[in-house]
Amino acid sequence: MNNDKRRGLTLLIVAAALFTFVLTTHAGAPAFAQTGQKLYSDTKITLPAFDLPIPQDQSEKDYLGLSGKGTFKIGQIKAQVVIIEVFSLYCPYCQVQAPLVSEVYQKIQESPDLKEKIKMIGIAATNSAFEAKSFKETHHVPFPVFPDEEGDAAVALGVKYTPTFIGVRVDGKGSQEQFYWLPGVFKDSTRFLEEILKTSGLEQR
Amino acid sequence: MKLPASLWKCFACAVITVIMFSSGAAYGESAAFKDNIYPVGKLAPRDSSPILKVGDTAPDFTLPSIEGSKVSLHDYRDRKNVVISFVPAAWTPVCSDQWPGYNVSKKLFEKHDAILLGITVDNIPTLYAWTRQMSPDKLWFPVLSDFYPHGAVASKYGVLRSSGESERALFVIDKKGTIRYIDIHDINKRPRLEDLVGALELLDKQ
Repeated sequence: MNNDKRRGLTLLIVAAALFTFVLTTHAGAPAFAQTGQKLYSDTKITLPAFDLPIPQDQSEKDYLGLSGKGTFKIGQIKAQVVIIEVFSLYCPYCQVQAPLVSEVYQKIQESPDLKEKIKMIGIAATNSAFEAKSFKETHHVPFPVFPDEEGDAAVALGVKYTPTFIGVRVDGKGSQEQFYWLPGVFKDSTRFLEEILKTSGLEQR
Repeated sequence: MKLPASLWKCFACAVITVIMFSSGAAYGESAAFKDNIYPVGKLAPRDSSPILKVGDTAPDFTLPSIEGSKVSLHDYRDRKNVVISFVPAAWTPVCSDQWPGYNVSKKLFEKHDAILLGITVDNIPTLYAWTRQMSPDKLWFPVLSDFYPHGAVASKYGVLRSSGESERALFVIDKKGTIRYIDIHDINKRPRLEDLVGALELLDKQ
């Protein structure tokens, strides 16, 4: 191989590597995140991995089926489906949406069948612990909320706008498949829950 | 192995591109302002010279509010502690979510007997439209326009930037009119709520 060819080939490899790097590190969940549309997925899309601190509060630990200290991943939550709301204290739509999100939680808890199968968590994008707690208290958020001050989780998930709702199928052993993505608000808690049930496979379509 | 200069150049360009992509990522912004926010990019953190310090008497001012009335700092003398929040401009990142956070945190201000005055250098119609995006109801605190003469109050407080916008700055003023806290913040970042609450808590201790 002459020098020119070798140089061309090296350039090509460097360019390809960088392109892949940008896609994998920056885009998060590309198929979902780029469109800004509500999306369901029949194909298996693995939720990007990120760590959250195990809650200190015993009732929150019990709710999520976690124990001990340290961190956990969404796939370790004891459930079949996890609904993640990525929100912010500083987001007007999140404030308006809060009562409806609580309604979803109440509907799940009132159903003996669903309460063990579906768990909800909030991730407070770019909020400090104080800010996340302030939102939780003001809006009486009934499920565990995790501050994401540096926005690491939001970036990993590819969340661009708050609120964003993400449905994840889990098996408690680490598997975490994203099946639902709603960037923005929903207007009817019953319909939202029905969508989750249908698209997750918990209820036959 | 010695790489040819052209390859190094190419590599450097690629790295710069990656960095630009990564740092330009907007995430976690409110959907309330989706597609309506002007991308300002990263700005110099501060672009003004401070002229006030803690312990100084806060310069008085009178400004029109989006409600149509005029609001003066001396209206609150002996009645309320005052938090002044200067934000650089309507329809820009960070600012567009800072006040919604204060709007939902009304109780924290009330707990310390404080009113919030939100000030920008924008004109009244712009401020009206922008704040209407923040809440279905009107904001609980006065929103004041420092539009004409342009940035006069920002200038008095030493927070007018050379571009004509103000800094992202917080001043806490007690009931006697004395400045008790100043945070001329990095314009690119949102001040943490607990820092402001901490300043309000200090007011109660004296």
